[in-house]
Amino acid sequence: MNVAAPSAAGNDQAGNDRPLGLAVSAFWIAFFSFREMVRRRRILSVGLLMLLPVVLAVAWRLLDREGMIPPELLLANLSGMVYIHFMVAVVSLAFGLSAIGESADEGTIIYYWTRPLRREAIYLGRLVAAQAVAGLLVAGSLVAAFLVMTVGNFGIITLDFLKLYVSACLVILFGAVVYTAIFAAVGTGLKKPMLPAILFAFGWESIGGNAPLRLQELTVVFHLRNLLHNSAASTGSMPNLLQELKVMLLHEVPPSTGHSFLVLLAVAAVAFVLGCWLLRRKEIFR
Amino acid sequence: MNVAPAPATAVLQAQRVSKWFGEVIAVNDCTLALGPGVTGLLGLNGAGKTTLFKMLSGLITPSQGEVLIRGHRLRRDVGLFRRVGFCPESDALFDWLTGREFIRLMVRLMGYDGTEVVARAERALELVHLADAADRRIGAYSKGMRQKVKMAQALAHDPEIVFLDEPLNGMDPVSRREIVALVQRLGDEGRCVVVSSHILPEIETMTRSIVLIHRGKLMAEGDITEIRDAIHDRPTIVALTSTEARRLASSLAGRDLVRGVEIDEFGRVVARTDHAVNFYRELPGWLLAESLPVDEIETLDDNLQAVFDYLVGG
Repeated sequence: MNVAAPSAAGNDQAGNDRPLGLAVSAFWIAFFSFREMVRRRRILSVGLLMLLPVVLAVAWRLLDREGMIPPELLLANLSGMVYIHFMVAVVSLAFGLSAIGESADEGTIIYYWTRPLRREAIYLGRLVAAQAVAGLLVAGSLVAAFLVMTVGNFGIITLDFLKLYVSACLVILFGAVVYTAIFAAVGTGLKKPMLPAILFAFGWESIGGNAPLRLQELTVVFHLRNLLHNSAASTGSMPNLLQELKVMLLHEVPPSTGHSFLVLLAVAAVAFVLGCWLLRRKEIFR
Repeated sequence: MNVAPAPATAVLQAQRVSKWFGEVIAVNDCTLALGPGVTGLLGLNGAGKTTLFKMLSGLITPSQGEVLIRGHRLRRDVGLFRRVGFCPESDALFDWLTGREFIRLMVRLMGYDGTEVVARAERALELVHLADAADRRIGAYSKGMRQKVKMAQALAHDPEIVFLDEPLNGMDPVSRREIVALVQRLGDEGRCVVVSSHILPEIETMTRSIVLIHRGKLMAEGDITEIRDAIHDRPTIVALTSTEARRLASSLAGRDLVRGVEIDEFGRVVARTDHAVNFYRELPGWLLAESLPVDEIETLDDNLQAVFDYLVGG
């Protein structure tokens, strides 16, 4: 079979020497990367870990037969302490760090690299896929926890409970998106990103997030908690009580929901830009 | 030593490119220009061959100098990758995809869509004789089949420039023959094909045009024979067929320019010299002076290995 003459190279449909459109190329990369990421073995271990809130919900169903812990309180505590402080960070770490870094280490990124694709498209596609996988795992866990709490116990489903659940889900998923963006940039920039990422997620975020005064505003977890607090103001959950205590004792007025939302959006955007910049500078040696 | 002038039709150019990692200089001030045809990139392990190859193919940026494709910088104008096909040495592939899915994705990411994606993918799979196994997962492919699917993705969009990094790795003899023929055909069709390999006979089956890099420096560029001819005072081994082999051997043995003489299993007189140019200049005079009949003269080491060994001191 004859290969077409080189002069015809890419001169018909592909057209010219311009890079492919950002949206189209990012879509295809995201589509295939998602399929790749859900096949990773770690999805099983992370998936199992995501059952922790479900187990807590089961324990609540089994042990709290007298209704000492109202469902709203359980939900607020699960969201504020289990999901935001732990689960979201774990799942984002597992898929964010590897979004670009692993592909570069393995050598498969070379196939994207040698296409007429903007580095931003490669980064965006991989990041969106990682965020989708992380979000899917978190969403699965949230749905399972909801089902455990409500099936056969339909009396707890009030409008307030539903509003609380939906807003908690949105904040948690938003948290997964933001954390995954941060870890993707870390994974792109560092050769061995795991330790710094763990120190960030469970060191800085835990300590800084509970630090007094405005220092805590430099953490992601603070702003996520703030979004949750505003949506779960009346539940009396542990994070809310701490927040109220700070307001009372330290006269700290927390930022508005809109402020926290914008800060988190800005963090994700900065992480994205930084990640793209790091990817443009990256060199492929494999 | 740069023995070949830059081709007027240069497609791919490296202009004084250097690359260093910390204090280690991997490639030092290399300038070369490649046109249509197959060019073998040669060098010992650690010579800088891989670094130069990756700079040429846009995977890494030169610390100094620049690589141009048709006058444009590949690293900056990524749209130029439409003109480039790259077959990496690394065995990493999307193992969970079938060969067909992989090639289609790669074609799609070249900017094609719809039926064109399907047509080009099928053509590329047929080109490397992988159509029958195209619906199997790449993870289940043999090493040779993995090599072929890498070749297919590099060629599916009809690139003008093709980079092949150790393309025959892990291939069985039949597949090797097929790929060598394919590479030669790509060159004959006017593509600029750059093949990197550390196995010299492999390169020699594909092309006589080489770029030789040693200790980070470009040591030679051009046709193997031209390079050899350009090496003055080189050592060489010459076989002379004569009806009076013993007398000829005796005569040559006494010459200053001849380092050693023997008669091989075919009855030929095999002479070794360290000064090929002078040897060839003097030889007719010696033969005439002693009326020594010679039917045939053959240079035994006019091959890539000999040139390579001589240039890198092997």
